[in-house]
Amino acid sequence: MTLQHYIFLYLWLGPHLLLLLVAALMYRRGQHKAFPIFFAYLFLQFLQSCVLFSAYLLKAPVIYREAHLIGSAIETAFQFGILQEIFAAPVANGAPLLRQVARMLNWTAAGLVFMATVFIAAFYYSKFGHPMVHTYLIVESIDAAQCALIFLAFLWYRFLGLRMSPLAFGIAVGMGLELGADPLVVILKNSVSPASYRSVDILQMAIYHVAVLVWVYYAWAREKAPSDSKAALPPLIERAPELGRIVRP
Amino acid sequence: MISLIVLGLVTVAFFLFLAIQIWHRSSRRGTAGAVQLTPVDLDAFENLTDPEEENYLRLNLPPAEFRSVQRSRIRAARVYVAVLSQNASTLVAVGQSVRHHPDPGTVASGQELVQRAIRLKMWCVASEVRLSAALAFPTILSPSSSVTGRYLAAKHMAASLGGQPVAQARTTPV
Repeated sequence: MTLQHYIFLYLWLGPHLLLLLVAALMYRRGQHKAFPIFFAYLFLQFLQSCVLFSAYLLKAPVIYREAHLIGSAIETAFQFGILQEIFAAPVANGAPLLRQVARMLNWTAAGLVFMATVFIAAFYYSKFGHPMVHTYLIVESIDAAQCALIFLAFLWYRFLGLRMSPLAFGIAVGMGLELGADPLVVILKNSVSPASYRSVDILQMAIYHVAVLVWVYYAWAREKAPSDSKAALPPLIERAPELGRIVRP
Repeated sequence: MISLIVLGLVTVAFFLFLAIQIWHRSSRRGTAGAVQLTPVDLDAFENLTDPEEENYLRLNLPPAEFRSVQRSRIRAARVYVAVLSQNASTLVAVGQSVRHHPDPGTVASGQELVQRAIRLKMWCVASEVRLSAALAFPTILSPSSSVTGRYLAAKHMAASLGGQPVAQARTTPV
């Protein structure tokens, strides 16, 4: 076994074990109630890695491929759900507003997937006869649309003037890293020889490891009040006359 | 090859964007944003978006002059909506600043304020779209002032959150 193989094994197993730590931290702080889909996603990824690793050890490529395909499809659905959780977090207490945001997000996601498909199909136009091109097209379109949604999530909070909670921020950044790594892998695999594919895979796994560490950090981080919480009210009282100025004379 | 370069540049830009978000968040840690509200003359705003006023002008002015006057009124109304939107952001920040307050009642009021201010903010966006459309077709489309009631309700909540009664506030159900 080479050092590269050990690194490969660590990067496969290490981050997935850390996912359990993220889940434990979330559960301890009651954050699983605010982000239930993300919480379930952690277990899904852990289970998927167990199945895939078992198939790898048993040298069962057919089971591996099928498990990977099914797992990826379920993961994609969960990722859209997580993005919805991030968007909806500021309005979670208001049901009508929540519905409005969910509807808006569904349309935006559909529009983005359509635009990404058109954009990426233009890239692959010359290779349309290739058997794998349609799979690539779907996967990359969804990845691109999800990256765009993460970008929009940050803009959404900026538009509202809200500060993301640490976990929401961590989830968004971690998912951004995880999803952004896929196009990078496509580029590298198109640029290097097949002999170097293992190195590209290691790079992708390393990026995923960083994403999981981001989740660990932000699941552990406590939200800091902008100032001492006891001192939060006096500035409000101070502002009240200013608010009164807006009232009709 | 060109497609790979474009994809690469987009990916790098996206990672850079994420890095900026992390840097921006860590540099702002623990600092409260400056709270600044811009006074708004709601009477004037309501006048600018009043359908009766618009009807009066339509009946008493020649069509060309009406279009010109109406466009000026809509431009002014857009400025008001932009300021209301800015104030809504401030109200969101005020509501969010009491998240860690020891009094649960204040925390609940803060959350309610955030909800209302977000709704107001979204209404401001809708109003801006509507006003822009009305600016293009001043004789067909009319501007709306429904955002005023929402603004007053959110502002009233913010003032009562600060412990100060707002005697002259008009409470409008949202």
